Amino acid sequence: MKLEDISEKLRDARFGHLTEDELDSYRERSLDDIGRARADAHLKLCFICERRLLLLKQESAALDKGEITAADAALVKRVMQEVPNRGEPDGSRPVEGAGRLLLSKRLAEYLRQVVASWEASFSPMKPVYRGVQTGKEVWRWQSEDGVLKAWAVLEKNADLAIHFSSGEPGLEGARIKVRLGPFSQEITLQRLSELEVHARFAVPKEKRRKNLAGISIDLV
Amino acid sequence: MQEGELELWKRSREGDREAREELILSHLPLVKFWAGHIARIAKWANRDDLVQDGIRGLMEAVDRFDPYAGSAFKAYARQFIRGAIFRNPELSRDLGRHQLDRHRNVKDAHDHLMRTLERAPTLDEIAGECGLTTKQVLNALDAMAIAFANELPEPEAPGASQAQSDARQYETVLINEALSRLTTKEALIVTGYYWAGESDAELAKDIGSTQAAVSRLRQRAIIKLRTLLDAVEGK
Repeated sequence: MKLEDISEKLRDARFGHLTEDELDSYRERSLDDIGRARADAHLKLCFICERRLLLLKQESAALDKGEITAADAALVKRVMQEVPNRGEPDGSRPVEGAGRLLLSKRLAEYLRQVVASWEASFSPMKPVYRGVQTGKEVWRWQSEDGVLKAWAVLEKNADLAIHFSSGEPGLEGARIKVRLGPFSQEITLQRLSELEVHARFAVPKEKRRKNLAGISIDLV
Repeated sequence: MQEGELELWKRSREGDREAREELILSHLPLVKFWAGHIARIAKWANRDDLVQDGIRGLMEAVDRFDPYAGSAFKAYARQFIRGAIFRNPELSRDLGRHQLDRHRNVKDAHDHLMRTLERAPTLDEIAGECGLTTKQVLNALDAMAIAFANELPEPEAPGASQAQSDARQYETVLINEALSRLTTKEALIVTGYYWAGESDAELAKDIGSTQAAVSRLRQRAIIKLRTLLDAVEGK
């Protein structure tokens, strides 16, 4: 890639719209320095995101002065009675219909970010496990909202394992296809405990390549 | 999250109906805000019906939220509330294809102008670009801000614009990740130069260095970024 192309990519990064998570974090001043710099630059250019940010500020103000009246309480009670099936929160109910679609979409976005983080971390020039002891974590990523975590460990038997974990029970059963170099495997997020769903992708030692670049992760 | 609130979530997850009701009630202003805002745009819809739909969405969010995952409930619930409101048949029936097309056109015109002008386009400019009145543009922008945080619903055959938008999003994440691998000073210089439009001389003043040193650091950072991004592209 030419150096001018890098400059172009950097300039272009200002044009990408901010996600709602980014706007929330921007409003709460919890973005890191790079995120904040990009948000500042984008907001100077974008009328749409400026209005979206304004809307979130209005939402926050509405919540701060939000009053609950007796009529509100009665309405909530009535709607709760009308939807009896939603009244038994046991954390294990499968997600259905539109909810599952929404979750799938979010999961697909998380996985795109996982790939970007992985690829930015591992250069083909530097085998990540050179000098790394077995049993050690070599990479970690977490979504901004904390819903999905992923990390990679060079295991004691020298397999390389990538773990995916979430506290969102609705992701249970989601199937993901991971390919690292020539090795690919389909894995399923399964319930590990009441509070966690988890999946593990492991590349056996004999199938590992020296460099770890070239990953793809897709929802099945 | 404060201890009292966490306790409430714990009780709700264990099936305590009162705790669940308290959680729903305490977040009701969120429902009223979004239902009110959507009703102002979709004037044909009944606000009370939208509030009830929003409460159903809020109930779903309360039942599915994991208080231990470290994310904020407000942001989590917002998706469910708006989703439930937009499933209201009265709302979706009248939110016709032509309106979605108009929203998409406004967004495309806005994004085109933003890139060309390198500043936020004015309402008049967007209106001129897509042949609408400023009021129509404003309505479309407000609808987008609520319903389609980042993207518009896909037409039946996903078009090139969605693929481009996904690619752009991916590129942005990649750039952010690569920048996070630079030193703090390098990242400050690169983001200041390319995003805030500061000159080397201004940056030198900011970080207490010389213009020549800033220019050198910037060049070095760009080479580092190239190595990282080339690695991603498999070169």
